[in-house]
Order: sequence, then structure tokens, then C-alpha cells
Amino acid sequence: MKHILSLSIVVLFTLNIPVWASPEVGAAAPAFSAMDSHGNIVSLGDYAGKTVVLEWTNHQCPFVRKHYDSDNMQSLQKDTTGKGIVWLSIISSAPGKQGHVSGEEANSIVEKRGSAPSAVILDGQGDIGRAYAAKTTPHMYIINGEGTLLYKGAIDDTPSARPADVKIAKNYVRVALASLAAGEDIAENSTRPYGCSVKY
Amino acid sequence: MIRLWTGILLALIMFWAGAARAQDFGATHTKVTLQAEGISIAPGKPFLMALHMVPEAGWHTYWQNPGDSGLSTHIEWTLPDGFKAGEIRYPTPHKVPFGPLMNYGYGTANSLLVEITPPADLAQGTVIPIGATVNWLVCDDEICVPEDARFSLELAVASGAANGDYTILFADAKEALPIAAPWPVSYVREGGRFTLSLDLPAGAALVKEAWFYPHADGVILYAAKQTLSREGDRLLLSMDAGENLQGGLVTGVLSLKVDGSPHEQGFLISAGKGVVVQDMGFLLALGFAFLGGLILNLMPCVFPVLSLKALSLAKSGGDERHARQSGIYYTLGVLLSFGAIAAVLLGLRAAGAELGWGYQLQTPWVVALLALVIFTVGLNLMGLFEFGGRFVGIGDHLTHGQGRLPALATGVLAAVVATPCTAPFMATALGYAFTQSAPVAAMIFLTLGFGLALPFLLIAMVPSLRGWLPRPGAWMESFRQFLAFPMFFTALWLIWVVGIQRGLNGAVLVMGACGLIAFAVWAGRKWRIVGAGLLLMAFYSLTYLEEPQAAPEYEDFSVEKVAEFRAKGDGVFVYFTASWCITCKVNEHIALENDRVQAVFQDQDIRILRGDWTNRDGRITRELARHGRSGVPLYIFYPKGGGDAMILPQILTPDIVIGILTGEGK
Repeated sequence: MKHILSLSIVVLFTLNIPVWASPEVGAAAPAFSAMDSHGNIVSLGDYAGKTVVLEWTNHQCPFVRKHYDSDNMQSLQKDTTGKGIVWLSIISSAPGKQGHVSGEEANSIVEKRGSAPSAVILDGQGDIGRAYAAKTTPHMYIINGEGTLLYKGAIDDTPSARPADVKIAKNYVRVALASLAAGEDIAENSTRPYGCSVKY
Repeated sequence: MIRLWTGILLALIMFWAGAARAQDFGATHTKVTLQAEGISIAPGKPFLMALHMVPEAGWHTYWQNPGDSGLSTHIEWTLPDGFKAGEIRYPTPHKVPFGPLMNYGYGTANSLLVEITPPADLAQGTVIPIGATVNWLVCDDEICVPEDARFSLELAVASGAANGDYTILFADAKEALPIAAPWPVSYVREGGRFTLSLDLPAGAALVKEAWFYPHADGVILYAAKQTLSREGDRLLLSMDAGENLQGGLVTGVLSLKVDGSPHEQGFLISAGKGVVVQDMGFLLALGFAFLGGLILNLMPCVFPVLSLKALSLAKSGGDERHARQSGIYYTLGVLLSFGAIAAVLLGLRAAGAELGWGYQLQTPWVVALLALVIFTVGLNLMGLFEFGGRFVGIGDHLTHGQGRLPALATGVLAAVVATPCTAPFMATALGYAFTQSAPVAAMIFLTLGFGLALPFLLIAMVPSLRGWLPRPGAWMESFRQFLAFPMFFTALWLIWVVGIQRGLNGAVLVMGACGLIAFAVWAGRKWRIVGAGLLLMAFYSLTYLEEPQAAPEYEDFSVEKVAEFRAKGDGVFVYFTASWCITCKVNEHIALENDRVQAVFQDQDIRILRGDWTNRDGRITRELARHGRSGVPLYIFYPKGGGDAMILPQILTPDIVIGILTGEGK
């Protein structure tokens, strides 16, 4: 009898689980632990004390290519990792969907493009993506050394697929990291992301 | 060597690929054309341009708010000085779901309209060049491709007459645009939920489906379910709220599908912040639900169950463990039942039904069933029967049962008989519950159940309370019988409700079912099978609770009217009936109220006159005598254009009547 009661309560709760809860800026960023392209297990907790940038990516999405073909993303990655900030590229495409790659493929893409992430995380099950409510590629998040989410949203303020636009756009990630370095609050800490949908 | 050539080849490919990735994306997956509505432009008169987009099958383009991902279409106009281009007017969008994400767009051909206003000072005959660079995103389930196209066309300045080639295109485009909503709309954002409220009278056409497409980001969660419900004269559409709701007006497109119409209609709405409907917090609602549950114990439906159970506990003496067990299992029974009711109602709400508490009482057969159950409990209290045999575990629960199952069953029974009753505080709490998410609503239901169960739970758990109960004695039997009467009166009230819903016939049907149950109970004491059979009949008879059919439109009979209509040459159908005449009622139900017969009455423009002989009426007696009859029923048809009166048989069928009315039958 008691089982029926608890079961019915569980059923009732599943009737209206919100689609997914986007983590709030100012709250703790969801922890995760997954395999990277070299076969190592990478956890958010490994980088305690350091600022971490999360970049959801899909190498075939035209919006991602806009930033890579123009070398915009690579230079941003080099600048930030050069300052001791950790950059994690996360691929949440499900197997068989666009953007899904194996570890070796991911490594060769990194080499070919000259990108400089600290690690490329393979999230084929989409668990990390769902935990962060990652909707588009690219979708950017910045987490501080204490594990608090400081920024979530678009990479810049010009939603388009034209590589030429990266020069005229305001890059939210650069601006946010500059504010952090200056010890200031991030003015625009939650923006609307743009891009292809993450292929869960 | 091979490495070198591969390298060069790769470099060349990347170079070419790079070149192709420049501004011009081409348009492989969408056929796009740009047309002007007129064959010419009139000075100063705004004219429409249509960007007609046809995505490849399985692909889609996006609305002005693309949703979780995607990109809307952009047009950059190259116009001569003085020309102004307006914003793109999008047709009503559709949902394009993708896994856990939701986009808004178009999977089929659609036209985006733009109004261009030319300056007033244009010389006739001037040729105006119009250029447009269009960028859009087209995606299928797997990939996205940004595409673009450039257009240039020329229009002369003349009368601005419409271009006949594009009449249909522009007509379709305008029809697909959302129209301004004719009713006021407001919104409420509370507890992570965003609710739109439309002042739409309950009598308006039944809205079956609705979806809200906001213009701005952050108003709602795009992929969240949108629940439609009705509260009196207001239609409510409720969904998970987004993160960035700026105050002020919320605009967007509300797409409604109405019963009987195959297409949705989009409405442009501009919703202001509304008054919070239930100005009640969750805790207050819980408090009200709890109080309501407590008070329910005093209602005539529940009080008998509660008091008898309490007294049986007192009678059973001092076994603490059994008493506590009784209390716990009774509470469990109540909670389970309320949980089940909540699950059913919330399930119905999730399926889109508009409901509130009392939904169950809006369905006549549920009311009838409750009436039967309560009547049966009344009979049991009267002492007319005890549950025996197979039911000894479940039965005997009101006076003798002390085990776990009887206690549980009593709990379930208490919950069931409580459903037709409402207590103060209960209504507000439940009203609040129905606008909330499922877990919240379930909590409120369970709290109501807990309030209902608490008095007995306390009596069962706290021995000193039992000391307050009166000492058992012979008076208990009379008390038990006395308690049957609140039950009977409750059943009577429910029968009255059925009468309102299904007319006198419905109410009598339920009373008949009660009679059958009483009969079954008496017969079942000796002959179980007969009892069971009669019981089945009683419940089966409820299936005859149908919609009352419309009676044919008639006027009251009078000899003068017959003469008047006949003089005009109309066909006249006269019938005499009485409420106590069963043959008459059966004939009317089967033949006269039949749809086909009614259709013939209307087609042939036949006048219907009805003589009601339920009470004494000399004129009708005389008319009956004139036709050689002394009683009812009597059916006479005077054909169109004069002609002899035809008397129909005593027992009618639709075919007989139609035959006589159309002159084709016997």
C-alpha cells in the first residue's frame, strides 16, 4: 500500500517536470565529470580556484564555423588559456547526429583548426548539455574559481552566420573576462544564445 | 612526394572552400521569390511586397522569434530616396520541436509581407528600382544551412493597380497573417509559471487547442507544455515562465484551434500585467485545504461514516495496537483516494480538458453513480443489509471491522462520499490548485485528504480522546439508523442535480436505479444471484442517461388554429398526449423527436399543434370524441393544400411518420 502511495506521488511529479532548469547566474554551476578526447576523465572540480569557460560546439554547424573560419574562436581560446583560464569545448551531439565525433576525430579537428582548448569533452549522452540547458552551438558559460556561474549565453551580440560579422560584433566573453580581471561585476551576464540547436 | 601533393591539394580545397564561404550562401534548400502586389506604384500609396519562401520538404525556416535556436529572416532593402520599408509581417508560426528544444517557424510555403511607402512626389512613368538582399536560416532535423538571395525588380509609377498574376499569392499571404485579438488579454507571472488570461465568454466557440508564441525572448520556456483551462468567462493558458520577463506589455501571437474548424487562427495579442487571480500563496492554499478537509467531517455525507467508525472504535475496547492501525490505514485510504482523484483530474487537465473542482459533478453519470453509492450506504446504515460472504473483509466496515483492510476501505468510502460535498475554504483552495503545476495541485489535494482523515486519526491514536466518546450501548443501533437519513437526503440532492442536467426523465431514471438497488438488497439476502442481477441492472440503467432530445417546435392546440392553418394551405400535424401516458411518451421519444422526422417537419414547413391532456381539458376531450376516440394518444395529419385528415397508428415509428408526412407511405 505504501508503495502505491509513493509511486503515485512520483508519477504526479513527473506529470509536470519543467522542461529543464537553466542554471542561474550567481548560483553554483552544475558539477560534471566526463571523458575528454584523450580518454582522460575531466571534472569541473579539477579546476577549483581557476576560471573556467565552457563552449558548446559542433564543428559542422555554420554558426560555429563562422567563429572558427575567421580564427575568432581560436584567438579567443589562446588569449584566455594564456592567462591561466581553463577552456573546455563540449560536444553534446548524440551518436549519429551532426557534430558527433570520436576522440581521435576531435583531436584532429583541433589540430587542423589550430584551436587551443584545455580539453575537448565528449558528452554524447547529452547529460552535461541538459544540466546546463545548453541549447545552441555555440553556447558559452563562464564559471569562477569558487564554482559559481558568472555568465551564460551567446558568444557575441550579432546573431548571424557571416564570418565577417565577428569583427563588428561585441564579444560578450571577452568583455566578461576583462571585467573579471578588473575585479568588476559582469554587466551583461545572461544573453540570448544563437546558433544551431544542440543535436541531443 | 605524395605527402606534398596531398598537402597542396588540401590547401587548394581549403582555399576554394574558404572562397565559397564568403558572403554569398546561395539558396539550395529554399525556393525564394520576391513579388510586388501591384503592376505599378502609385505616388504616396503604400504597397505590399511578398517574400515567398518554399523550404524543401523536411526543412523549415524561422519566425521573428525563432525559439531556442535558429535565426529569423532578414531583408535589407535598397530603395531610392524617400521610400520607406516597414517591418516584416510574418504569418502565424508553427511549432518545430527538436528533442528537448522548441523552435518557431514554417515547414511549408509561406510569404513574408513588407509594406513599402513611396513618397508622394513621384512623376508618372518613372521607373523605380527595388533591390533586396535576404538572409535566412533553413534547417532540417540534422543540419542548418544559412542561405541568401539577392533580388532586384523595377516598377513604374502609374496607378498602382493590382497584378492579376499574384492575386492568389497575396490573398493567401494576408489570410495567413494573425489578426488583432478582439478580446482583452492579460498575463500573470507567479511561482515560475506564466499564465495568459483571455476574457472569452464561456458561450463562445469551444477552443480545443492553443499555443502562445511570444515576440520577446525570456517570457516563457519555449519547449514547456502549455495547459489550457477555463475559469468562468476566462480562458487560461498556463506554462513555465522564462527567465527574463521585463515588466510591461507582453506581445506575441496566440494560435487557437476551435472546435469544428480544421485550421488554427493566429491572434496578435498585447497582454498587460493582470491582477493575480488567486491572491493566495501556496501555504495559505494548503491551510485552506486542511481546514476544508476538517470541516468536511461535519458534512452530512461524511459525518455518518466518521461517527460510526469512531464509535466502533470505542466499542471495541482497549486494544491500542489495533486502534492505531485502524487510524493509520483509514488515513491511508483517504489519502490514496484523494491522490487518485487528483491524478485523474490532473491527467484530464494535461490532456487539455478545461476543468475545475466540480468537474466530476458536471458529468451526469458520475453524479448518478454517487447518488447510488450514497443511497446504498444509507440502506446499509438503515440495517437493510450487511455485507456478507465474499465481502466480509471489505464490508462490515462501519460497525464491526477492525482489521487493516476494513479500515482502508472505510477511508476510501469516506473520500468517495465526500466528493459531492464542498466545505467552506475548500473551494478557494481547490480553485488555486487547478491553476498550479501538478505537484503543487497534488499536495493541496492530499492536504485536503489529511484534514478529512485527521479527526479519526486523532481518535485512533490518542486513547484519552476515546474516553470522551459516549459509552457504547443499545442507543448505537438507533443512532446508526438515524445517520441513514443524512445519506438519503444527500442522495436526493444529487438526484435533483441529475434532474437539472438530464431533465425529469434522468432524475426518475436514477430514482428507478435506487429502487432496483433496494430491491436487489432485499432479494440478495436469500437469492444471491437475483440480488446481483438486479444490482447490475441498476447500474446498467445509468447508461440510458442521455442528452434530452429537442422536442419538435409546436404550438398549443386549438380548433381555431387548425382551421386557420388549413385555410392558408399549410400542412398541419396535430397530436394529443399526456405526461401519464406511457405509449404517448414512447412514441414521442422514438418517432417525433427523431432527427429524420424533425428534418421532414422542417423541409415540408409543417405546422405542429400539441394538445396536452395531462390535466382535464374539455376542448381536447371533445376533439378526441370527434375522431371517435376516448383517450390518448391520437395523431392526425392534415396534408398541404387541403385534403382529408389522416390518422396515424397508435404505435409510431420514424418511417411511418415520414411516410405519412411525405405522402409516400401507407
